Amino acid sequence: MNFAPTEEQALIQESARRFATTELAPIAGELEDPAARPRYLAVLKQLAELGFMGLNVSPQYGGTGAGVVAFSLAMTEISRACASTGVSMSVNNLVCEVVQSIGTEAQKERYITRVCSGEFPCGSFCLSEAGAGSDPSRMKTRAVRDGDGDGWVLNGTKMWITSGEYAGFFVVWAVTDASAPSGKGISCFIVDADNPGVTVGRAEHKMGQRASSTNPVSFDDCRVGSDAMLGEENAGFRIAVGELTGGRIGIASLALGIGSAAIDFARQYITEREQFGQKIADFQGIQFQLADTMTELEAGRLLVLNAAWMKETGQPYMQAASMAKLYCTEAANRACYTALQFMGGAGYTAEYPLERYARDARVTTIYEGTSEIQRVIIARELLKSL
Amino acid sequence: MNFDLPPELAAYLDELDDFIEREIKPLEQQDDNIRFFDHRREHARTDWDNGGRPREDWEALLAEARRRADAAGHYRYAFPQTFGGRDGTNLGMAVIREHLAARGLGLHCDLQNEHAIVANNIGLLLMLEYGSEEQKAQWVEPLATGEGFIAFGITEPDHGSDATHMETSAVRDGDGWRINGEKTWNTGIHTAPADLIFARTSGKAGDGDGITAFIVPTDADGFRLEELLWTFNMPTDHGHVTLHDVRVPDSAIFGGEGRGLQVVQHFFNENRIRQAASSLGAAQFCINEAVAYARERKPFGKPLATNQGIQFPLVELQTQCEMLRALVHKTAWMMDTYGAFSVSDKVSMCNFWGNRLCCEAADRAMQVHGGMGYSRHKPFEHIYRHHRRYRITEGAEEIQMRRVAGYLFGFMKQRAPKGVQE
Repeated sequence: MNFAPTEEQALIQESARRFATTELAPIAGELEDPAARPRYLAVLKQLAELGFMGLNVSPQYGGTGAGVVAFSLAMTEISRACASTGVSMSVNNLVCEVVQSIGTEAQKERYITRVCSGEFPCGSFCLSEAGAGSDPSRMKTRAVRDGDGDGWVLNGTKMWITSGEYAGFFVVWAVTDASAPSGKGISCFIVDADNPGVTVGRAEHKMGQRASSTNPVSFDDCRVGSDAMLGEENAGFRIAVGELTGGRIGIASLALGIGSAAIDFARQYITEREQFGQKIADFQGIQFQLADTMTELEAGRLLVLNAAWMKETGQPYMQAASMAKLYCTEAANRACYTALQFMGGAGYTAEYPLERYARDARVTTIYEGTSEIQRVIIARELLKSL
Repeated sequence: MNFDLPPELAAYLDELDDFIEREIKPLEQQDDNIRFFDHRREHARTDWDNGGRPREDWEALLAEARRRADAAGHYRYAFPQTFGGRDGTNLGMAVIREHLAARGLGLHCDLQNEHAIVANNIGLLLMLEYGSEEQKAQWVEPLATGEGFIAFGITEPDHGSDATHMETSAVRDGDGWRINGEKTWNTGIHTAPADLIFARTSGKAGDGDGITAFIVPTDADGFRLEELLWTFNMPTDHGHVTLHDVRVPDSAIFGGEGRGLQVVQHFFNENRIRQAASSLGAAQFCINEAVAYARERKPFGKPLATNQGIQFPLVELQTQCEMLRALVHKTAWMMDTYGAFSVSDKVSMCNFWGNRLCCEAADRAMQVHGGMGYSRHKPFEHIYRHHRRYRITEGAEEIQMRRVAGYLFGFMKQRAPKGVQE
């Protein structure tokens, strides 16, 4: 057993922390304004320059090659300052990993390098649809072979697409064999954002994580070449449930960052605020909640680092990732609730970042697999070995 | 709206307290009978070398308390006046059971033995509702005095919550029936002269209809008490019995051929609300004790009660008690006003919430009392162990929630639970 980070991991964590506290935290609130989009894209460019868009990607394609634990550590630090930036970073890392894992050499050269270098601010996953959220096998988007060539024509609309507005390309899931049993006839494609068949819809008005855009994306007779297929034909569902597991480590790390930022801020506040002639930190009712919150976050930290280590060392990590995602995101929401309560009315105002933390934390138990889906996965993993 | 208890009920609680002080407390104190309630209670009550069953002197003491309560006119409170009772209501029983349990451990109310100076005699109520004239003639009097008892045999080793899938069967045999099967958790079977055995007589596994209840004498040929199951809380009177070709006459049928499940539902409905009220009372007792102790105990030179870490968990528990009390009263009142099956979902809500609350309150009281709380000089470990059982028996928590969900989502009919005719 060794709980100490390696020198490289510590360096990456430190550089993420420095960037987060000096550059990102001071402007995180302002980035929520849609008019601040250019500034947000500049932040993403800086992240690419720091090597944070491909932390677990081979240097051969412009990645950092630092591993999954380093990715988790950096995610938490960045998300302490700005969860929107964190989610863009998480998705980008995962897009690169998926392409690296199952893409052709040409796809790797074309897409991974451009995300890692910052040429593309983002890549995006297009999986969810209006009628297919937790159950992606119900998707309606179709891809049929192009009549006069060896390519494909995609039709359908995807929902909740993170970074839809400024993604350089989309990884799109579509039904390629409608007669196959549920989940067996889905394939994965890479579609360039400038493809004339792609329409990015109006951004959703969201409760939190507002600096990052979330859009519907439509594919209307969208033609792609045969080289656009990612992975094997009709193996898309396996990619969705398998390769995307790593995203749960990203979101668990992100949630941990929000929760820690919230309670750290409030911890400072309670040692200054006085009521009934004493610091409110001297009330046990406050102290014990603080103790419980920090204990939960620390437990979450160990869960997510363990999941990251398992993935990094090539072990099966689906159950560990789901446990980390479930626990960290729920604990982060409780931490935000408690921290805001500590600050009373002040916490409820936009004068302090607590309300933003609370808003940003809420979606973490919903996206990248809801808490309920994580429990389904955990239970399935636990029971399948019997 | 009026949330006052009916004045006659409030007055009756005072009358009961007065009776306890005059006739029960002295009995509890004489001849070292307090050994059954103080730190020696488990040992004093348990005949360890005789299968772990209740000791005879313990049950004799309970019988004497019942005799005194009956002589004073309290024991039969819930029974109809024609059987010496006071026509007690469900609300009355709920309030009384909460009140008795809130007084703590004592001879006035011992939940482990389903004993109290005001009887929770569901067996008699069922007999009056479902018994034939012949059965009533035989059973009403002994059931009313508490001297007779019919154990309840529905659960089987392989079928607990899914009782309708029972494997015990009864087939016609000449002018009677032949019963074969196995039953477990038959409480009180160690002394009961008869066991109410539920057996499938028609239909298929899972059907609500086709289960018949038979009053089977425990000395019948082929009826055997295999063991008393040792439990978290001892002594045990929870028997595992087997029936091999047990013959009973047609007149042993209780509640009609194929209609046994209705008897079960009736039993559970009435008993669950009373169990909930007992748990509420015991929870309140634990809170009260913890509050009193926190005010008197002074670590670091100031009362424990001044710590918010002590206050707030007790505040949460007291809040839940107040809410549960309102729901128990309302539910019992609705049963009285609209019929026993009118609010089965609320009965289940009261039950699982009350039993869980009591375990949490006992656990918290133990924590506030520290080492003394863990010791048997305080009653919390006993209360916890007993009410932990309630979270499983008479419908596990999950079964209560399943029932609430059934009504909430429209899978079950409110007025007619499975096997009950409207």
